[in-house]
Amino acid sequence: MRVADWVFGLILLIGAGLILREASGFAEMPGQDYGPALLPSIVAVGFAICGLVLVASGLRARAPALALDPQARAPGRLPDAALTIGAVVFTMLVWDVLGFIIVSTIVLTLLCARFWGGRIIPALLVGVIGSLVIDWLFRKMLLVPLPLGPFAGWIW
Amino acid sequence: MDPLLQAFWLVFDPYNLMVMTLAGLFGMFVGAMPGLTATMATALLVPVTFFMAPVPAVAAIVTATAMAIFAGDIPGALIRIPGTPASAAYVADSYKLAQKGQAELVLGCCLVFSAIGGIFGSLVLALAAPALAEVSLSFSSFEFFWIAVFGLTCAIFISTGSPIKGVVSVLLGLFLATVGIDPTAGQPRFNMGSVELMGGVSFIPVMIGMFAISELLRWVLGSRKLEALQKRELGSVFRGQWALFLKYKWNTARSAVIGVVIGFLPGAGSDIAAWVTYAISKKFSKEPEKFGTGHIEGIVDAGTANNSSLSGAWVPALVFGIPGDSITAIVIGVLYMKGLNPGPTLMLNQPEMLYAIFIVFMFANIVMLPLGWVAIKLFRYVLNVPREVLMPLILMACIVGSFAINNSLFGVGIMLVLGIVAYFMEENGFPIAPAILGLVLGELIESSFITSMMKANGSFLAFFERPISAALGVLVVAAWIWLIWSAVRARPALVSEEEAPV
Repeated sequence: MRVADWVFGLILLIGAGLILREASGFAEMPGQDYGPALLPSIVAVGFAICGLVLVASGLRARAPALALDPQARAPGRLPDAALTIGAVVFTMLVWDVLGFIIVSTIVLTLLCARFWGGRIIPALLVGVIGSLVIDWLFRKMLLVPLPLGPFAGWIW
Repeated sequence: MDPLLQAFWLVFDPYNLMVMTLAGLFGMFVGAMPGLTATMATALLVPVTFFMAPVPAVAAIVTATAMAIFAGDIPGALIRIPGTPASAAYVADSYKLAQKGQAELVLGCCLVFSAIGGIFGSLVLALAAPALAEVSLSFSSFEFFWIAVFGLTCAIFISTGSPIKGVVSVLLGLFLATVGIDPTAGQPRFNMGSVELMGGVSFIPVMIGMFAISELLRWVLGSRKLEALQKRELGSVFRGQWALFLKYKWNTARSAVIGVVIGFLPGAGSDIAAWVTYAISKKFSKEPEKFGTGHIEGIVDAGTANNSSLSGAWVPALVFGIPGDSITAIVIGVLYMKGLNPGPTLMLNQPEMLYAIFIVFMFANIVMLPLGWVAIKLFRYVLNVPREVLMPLILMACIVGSFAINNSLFGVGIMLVLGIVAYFMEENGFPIAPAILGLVLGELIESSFITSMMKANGSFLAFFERPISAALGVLVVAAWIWLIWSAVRARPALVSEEEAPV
């Protein structure tokens, strides 16, 4: 997805302003000219300079603010991307409520079925087996406290 | 016990050998799978290595990356899609040679010369790191400040595309490094009231996001088509390699050395080493017209260099704590987590660890020969694994990996945000590696600058009073003048180029 340089430039300028505002409130080091605000201020000034250059060169190039590559314009590509990002957000939202195995089975089955041209049964198999394998590897072998959800006290 | 003996003991422990074998197979798989890179292999491995002892953790990463860089050559030769960016330089040659029926020769050449490059790089690492560490023991905060700034400067210099975008990337990394409690005065910065951000942006979720999630998104939005593999049995891949080595021994030596040097430079990794040595090979070749039409010479050069740069990148990482490429940037994070603080004192306090790392490197590059042979034989099956299935599984592994670092969903959020940011950056010509370097080096730069200023009573001239510090400082300043001058000089050309059609 092509984003014009001047859009990046604007984002950098806004970012620079926000950083400077925040940094001006930082405590000073007693007896020193340089303190916690130094590096953020340097970064902000750098962002501002680069932002100006990008705005200038971007406007000169007259590119549209946002453009899609031909490949990304193929049908279903953008929904796929939204689905992928949505899957991560969904996982975060229901992580503790449903527990890892259920969330992971839902997400894996859904994404597989979608990418794989709607093969529901194989996708479900991937979802279930994949989730069990990841759960076994991380929770049983590596002792990561993945949430159990309703399976508390069960499996492995 | 003698540290060298102790190191052998650590490396040839059965558990460690098992980890190395598994990591090698994993690296082979990731490298051979088009669209998955060696850096991604490392990022995915980190959550797993998190729970291992230091030597197996490092061994897993070293083996997996060495294998992945070689295995990237296989799909390049057979279906014309480089498995990792490091193989992209010579994919035209290797594919055309394979089409001419010389697939065995090409694949064998990639394997053997990868191993030669890797072994040479390991030797340089084993010899150069201790020597440099000795020198760097006398370094103070002044020198470390300059070395870190030099690292960032290199990252901007070497990054492909517009230098201004490289600068933005470095600044983004530096900004991320400032989030959390500041190292000198204890001031919380940019944590937006969040307690979790108070401890800073965790490094591993950033890596997983920037290298794995962004690639996933690129795959989702990309063409997803693979070229069909020619069904043909492959013969012996080792036949004819000795003759090739004798014919191109000077090429091999030259490229191995260049690869290591490029590995040294922060921000430049195996892909840049491959491009540079391929170009040099063409320039000095007796038959430059054959390059790109299926000529083995460039493959020998670039195949050697991409593996030797891999080891070269570890020298600054181990000696100064400054990563030579994005893989070692991840490694430095792992070393810190394992209590092996990279830097000159590592040599003093834990020499056996350092020796163990050298032995692992050497051993991994030797084991590459049989494992690579297996990978070539099994490649057709790798390609049969549908990526439509693999990608969701990788996504879930990324989520779990980011969660596992602090056992909190916060890491998953960081991973997602930076994954999306990195996707947009890469698609629009902003390099990613400088951001990672900025994040790794931010704290070192800040704390060494503030400490130096305290020592010098606020006089900036103190940065030029010690000999090594002064030399490094002059180098950095000269690099920046050159960078700005070339940017200014390039500007008019850009304008006239755009206005030409009018």
